Amino acid sequence: MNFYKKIKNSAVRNINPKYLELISKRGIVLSKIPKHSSTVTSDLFLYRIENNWSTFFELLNVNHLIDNDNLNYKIFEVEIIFFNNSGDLVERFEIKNIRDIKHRININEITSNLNIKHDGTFAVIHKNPPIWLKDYDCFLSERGYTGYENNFCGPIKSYVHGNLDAIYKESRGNIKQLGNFSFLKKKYFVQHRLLTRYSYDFYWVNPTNRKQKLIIEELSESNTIITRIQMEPMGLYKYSYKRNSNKTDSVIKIQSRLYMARPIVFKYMENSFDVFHG
Amino acid sequence: MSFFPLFNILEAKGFCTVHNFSPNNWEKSHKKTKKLWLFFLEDNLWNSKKIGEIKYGDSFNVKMENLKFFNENIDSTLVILQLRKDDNVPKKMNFLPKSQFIFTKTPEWRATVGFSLGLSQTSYQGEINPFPEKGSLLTFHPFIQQINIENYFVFVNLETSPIRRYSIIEIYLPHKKKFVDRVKVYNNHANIISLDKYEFSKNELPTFICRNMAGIPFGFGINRTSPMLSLEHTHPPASFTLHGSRFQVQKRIKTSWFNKLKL
Repeated sequence: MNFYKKIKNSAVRNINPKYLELISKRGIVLSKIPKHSSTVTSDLFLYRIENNWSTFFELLNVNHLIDNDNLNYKIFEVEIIFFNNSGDLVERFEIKNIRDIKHRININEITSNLNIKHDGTFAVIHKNPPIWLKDYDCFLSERGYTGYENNFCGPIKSYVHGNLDAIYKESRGNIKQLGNFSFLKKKYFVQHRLLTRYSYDFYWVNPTNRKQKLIIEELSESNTIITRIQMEPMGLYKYSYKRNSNKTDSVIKIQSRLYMARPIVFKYMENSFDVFHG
Repeated sequence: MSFFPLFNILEAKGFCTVHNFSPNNWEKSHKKTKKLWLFFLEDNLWNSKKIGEIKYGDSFNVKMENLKFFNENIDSTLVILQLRKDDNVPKKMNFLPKSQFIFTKTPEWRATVGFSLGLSQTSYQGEINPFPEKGSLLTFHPFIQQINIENYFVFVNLETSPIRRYSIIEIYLPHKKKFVDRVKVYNNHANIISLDKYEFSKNELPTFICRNMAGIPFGFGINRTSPMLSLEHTHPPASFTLHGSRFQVQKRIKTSWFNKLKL
C-alpha cells in the first residue's frame, strides 16, 4: 500500500467522515472501516415475499473463489440475518456444510420456516474469511446476486447485484452499520426517466447507525409530488409510482444526508418486470 | 464517464437513454446544453455522427433500430454515445475522442442502457470506458435459469483503437477444474455466447477467462413464449472485498485462477 493510501486509511479509521468531508470532497468515504481485520461485511439485500413474490439468493463460496489453494474452503457455511422494514433483527439462520461452489437459496422457504411474513432485508455473513486479506487491509464482502420472481408479473427471474456495503458483524456477534452520512444535505437524482405507461417501485435501505430523513420528489413537467419519510437504521422504505396516461414522464430526486441515496427499482410492464439499481 | 453503449442482443433491440443531468449535486458537473455524438466502426476507423443536442435536465433516447445509416454497416455491433461540447469531431478517427467534461464518480454518470422484445424491456444504469489492450477478464456467472429460458453470456469490449483484433474466452467449471469450451471474441464488439448447450446445473458456476482482453460481462436471459428479458452484469473479483488494496487482491485472485484453469 502506498504512502498516500496509508495516510488516507488512517484518517478514515480515526476521523469522523463528516469532518473529512469538510476538508475535501475527495475525503468522502461511503462506508466505515471495521476495527478488526477478520470482519466480514454484507449488503442488506431486499427480500420480497408478499403478494406472490419469491426471492432467491445465488450464494457463492467466496472464500474458495478468493483463495482456491486452501482446501478448507471446499466446504463453507454462512449465517443469514433477517431484518424487518424498521431495521430490527428478526431472525438468524445458519447454513452449514455447503459443498457446492454455488448454492441457490430459496429465501421464501427460510422465511416461511421462520414465520416471517413481511418484506424486509437480509445480510449474508461468511465464516472464516482468508486471513491474508488483512495484508491488503481488505475485508471479505458479500455483494451477491438476488433474483426476484413473480408469476403474475412475468415468467422468469430478474436479478440485481448487491450495491450497498451496509453492515458488518463484530466478533461478539453484534451487528454494526457501515454506512457514512454527511453534515450537509445531499441530492441524488436517479438517472432514469419514469415512463407513464409503466409502474415502478423504489426501495431504499438505510445503511447508517442513525435515523435518516429522506425527501423524495417525483418531478414531471406538470407536477411535483413530495414525500417526506424517516428511515430507522437498517430500515427499508418502498415508494410506488403508478402508471397513469394523464401524467408526463418523471424523474426521481432524493434529498437526504446520505452520500448516495441509491434505490433498487422494480419496473412493471404489460406481462413482465425488470429490476435494476437506480 | 466517457461513453454509453448501444447494441442489440439477438432479436432484443438495444436502446440507450442519455441523461443531461447529474446523479448528485455535490460533485462538479457541467450544467449546460450538451451535444450527443455517436461513434461506430467502419473500415477499421471510428466514424462519428452528431445526433442531437440535450438541454440541461433533459434526456435523449436512441434506438438501435432507428439508426438507418448504421444498419447499412455490418462490421460493427457496438455503437457508443458521448456527450460533448463541440460541433466539430472528425468524421473518421484512429482513436476515440477524450471526454470534454468532468463527470461525477459517486456514482458514475450513467445512461439507461436497455433492450426491448415485444412489450418487455430490461435495462441497467451504465457507462463504458475504453479498456486497455493488455486487460484480462475473470468472472463467475451465477444466474443460469433453467425453465423456459435461453441463457447467454454477453461480453462487451471497447478500446480506443479501432483496429480489429480477437481473443479467446475460455469457459470452465472451477470446482471440478473442468474445461468446457473456448469461444472467439472481438474487440469493440458485443460478443454473445449461448450457454444452454453446456447444460449447466443450478449449482454450477460457469467461469469465464479471457487472458488478453477485458470487457463488461453480462448474464442475459430470454423467455420467448411469454416475452421477458433478464439482464445483469457479473462482478470482477475485486467486488469480493471492501476497502484496502482491492485491486491487488483482484490481481492475486486472477493470477491464481489463471494458473489453475488452463487448457
